[in-house]
Amino acid sequence: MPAAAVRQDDSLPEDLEQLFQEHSRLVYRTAFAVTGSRHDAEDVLQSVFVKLLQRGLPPDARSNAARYLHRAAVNLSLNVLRNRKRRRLVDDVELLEIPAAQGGEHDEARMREESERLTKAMTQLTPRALEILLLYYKQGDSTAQIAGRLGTSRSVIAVTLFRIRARLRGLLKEGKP
Amino acid sequence: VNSTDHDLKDLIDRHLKWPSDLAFTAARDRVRKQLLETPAHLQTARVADAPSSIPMWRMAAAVAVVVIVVIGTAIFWPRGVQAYAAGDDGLQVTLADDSSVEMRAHAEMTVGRAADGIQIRLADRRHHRLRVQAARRAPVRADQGHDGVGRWNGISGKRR
Repeated sequence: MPAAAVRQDDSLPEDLEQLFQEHSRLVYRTAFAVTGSRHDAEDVLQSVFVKLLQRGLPPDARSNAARYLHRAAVNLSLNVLRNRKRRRLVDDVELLEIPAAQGGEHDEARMREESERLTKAMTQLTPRALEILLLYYKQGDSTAQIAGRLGTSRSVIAVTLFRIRARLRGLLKEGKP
Repeated sequence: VNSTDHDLKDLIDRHLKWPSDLAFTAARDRVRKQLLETPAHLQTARVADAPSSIPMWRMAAAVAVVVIVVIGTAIFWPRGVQAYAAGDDGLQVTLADDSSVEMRAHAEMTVGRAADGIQIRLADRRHHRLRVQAARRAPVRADQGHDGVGRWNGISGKRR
């Protein structure tokens, strides 16, 4: 898709409109899962599509826009995480609802600490590792499906997952108080 | 799927959430509205691209290495031996390769190594006050000073 220059009053350029309709949910969901914040997820969604509006879809991404946009969402979400110390916005309902009413302040503190450790560990993964992690553990894709998405073999994904698990375990241990 | 896998999946499920449909729809509509209302060239991405894939510590280490090399070179680089004919009688100097240099009074030169032998650099910027006799034909070369006119004559030196 060339950089969008012409725009109708009530719609985005056709190609961008199609990408937006088809993939905005994927981008937002991914960003939300990584950042844990509606505001940050919206910022990521806006940024991904502003860049598409200005630069267009890279030629090598045209055959698999979903893959490109998923990676873009992971990259920008990682930027968000790395650029902030874990904020706790009062109006971030999703953050506040995690520990609620399960066992008082102790559990709440433990959940918060666990969440912070996981976030910190994620910031130290590569975008590709985080992408695979999300697809496998969060989205529930099989190694074959991930291999298909990323254009590689199943065995490569299996080995990569093994390494990601080991790395994540190490990072989570490091972060333990 | 082993227990580690389960633990990791549980951890991720506990802390990485999907958004509600309501949250997504609201965000999508706001972003689309902004994309529509503002000219493309005036829009700014709220999240910047990653600055660089090179970690800061690596950049800092590379800069430190360059600084160390530059300073070390400046300190230890052989700059040659300086000779100055202080008296009124001039001076004749015999170099390590048996070349000889005849210096007039108050002439100054620096003798250093060059890739092809010995290099003599004139410090005298006004007059040609050196005569050089090479022990061998090729390797001795006389260079001029910064703005002086150095000359390599090959004339036999004699003690003044």
